[in-house]
Amino acid sequence: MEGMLKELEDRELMIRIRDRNQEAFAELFDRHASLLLGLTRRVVGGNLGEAEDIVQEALIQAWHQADRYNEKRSSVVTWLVMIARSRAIDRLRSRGVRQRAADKLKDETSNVHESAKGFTSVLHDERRERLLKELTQLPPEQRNVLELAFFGGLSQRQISDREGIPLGTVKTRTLLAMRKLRKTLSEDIKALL
Amino acid sequence: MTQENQPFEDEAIQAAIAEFGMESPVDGISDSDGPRVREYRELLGLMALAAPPAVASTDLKERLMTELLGEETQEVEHLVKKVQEYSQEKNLETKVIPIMRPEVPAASGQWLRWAAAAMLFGIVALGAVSTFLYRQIDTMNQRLVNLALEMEDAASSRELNLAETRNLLADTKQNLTLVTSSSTEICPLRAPGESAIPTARGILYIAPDHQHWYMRVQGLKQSGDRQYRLWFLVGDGLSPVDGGSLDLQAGREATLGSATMPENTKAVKITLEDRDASGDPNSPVVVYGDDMLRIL
Repeated sequence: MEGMLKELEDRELMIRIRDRNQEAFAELFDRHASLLLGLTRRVVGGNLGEAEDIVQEALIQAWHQADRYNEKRSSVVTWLVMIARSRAIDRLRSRGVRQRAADKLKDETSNVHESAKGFTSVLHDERRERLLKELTQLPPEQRNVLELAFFGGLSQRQISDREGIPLGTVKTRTLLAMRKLRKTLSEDIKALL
Repeated sequence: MTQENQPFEDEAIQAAIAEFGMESPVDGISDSDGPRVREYRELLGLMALAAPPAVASTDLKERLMTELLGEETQEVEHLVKKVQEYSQEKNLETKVIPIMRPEVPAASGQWLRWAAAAMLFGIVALGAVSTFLYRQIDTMNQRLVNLALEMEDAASSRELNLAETRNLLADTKQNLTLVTSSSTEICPLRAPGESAIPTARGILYIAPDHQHWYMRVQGLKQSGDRQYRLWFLVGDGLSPVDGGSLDLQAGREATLGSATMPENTKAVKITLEDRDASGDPNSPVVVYGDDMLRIL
């Protein structure tokens, strides 16, 4: 049974999770837990214990809302990322340490390229390499607004205030960065569709 | 990207960002289910990879699964408590019977059974098709072999006919030379008075070497089970020497020729003998000739 689950795609696991199949849920955890942990740890500022709590809450939410997952709207991993990120940002805001996390984010910019081999699946590793390569190809100001928005949970107006640049500029940089990444990472995006 | 597409592209980006919780939804952007929005949504999902992954502690999974199980247990206990309270109110007897969680048939299990059945069917069908094709190929091979043999026979037959034709042509040329040469001697052949075939007549052409000769006889009748035979009458005793048999051709004509003629031939005659007869002629003469004339 366990071996069979490993052969299934994420969306097939979700069908079983809707039927309350805990083994399928465990398999989903094995595949994506380290990704979600890395994300939540980055958002809340490095505390792994707190990141684990957030991931646990996010996955419980996914378990309960499995019947609300719509494969036409997103892949399973993107759906989990949305839930985990949302939980992490909520935790950040509730602690009132948003600014500190954003500062920490700047300090951690140089750590973005840490090697992550051995922690996740080969597929995640390959995608990560391509994403990091494309992010470094972006102009620094475009990458900065994207990361502040994604990992810092800052709105465009908040970024504008923080960085001291016009709101329109923040929007433009965000749009340019997203357009370029969509083109350069089109193969990885297509694989998730 | 063209200028006209940019606003649409930007709207898709805005919609994806808003759905991801990174911005408030923008009024007027309603196409949140479009394929382009989906692509940008996935792109944002990929952004999570920019964070270094982290290794979960050993008990995270255990805590998670325990919490899931605990929630289910709590739900069941809550329902049991409600049933018991109701039963007490109504003074009813209750008994809790644990229900085994039914095995959810794995779709993949069913899929495997279908796949196995399809594979088995495929193997059987493949075997049947292979057998059929093998037989077809075998039949075709046999036909090809037969055809090759037929072609070989036809070629041999054609070669034989060709050789016969060449020989016949050579004979004809030779006979023509013989017939038209000024040195050729001719010997008229006539039916004697007592001949059974008074209409029979012919000419014998003799080459100057007195070896090559050619004869043509006309006015013969069908011989039935008997055969026309040529006799060279040699020496003063006119001893008969067999010169060969004549086959009646179209009409009532017969021809015969050879490159040899007995020495000292004085005359020739044709008789109608039994087919299996041997030795000297026993039948009446059909035609006879002994005048050797030279064509000037």
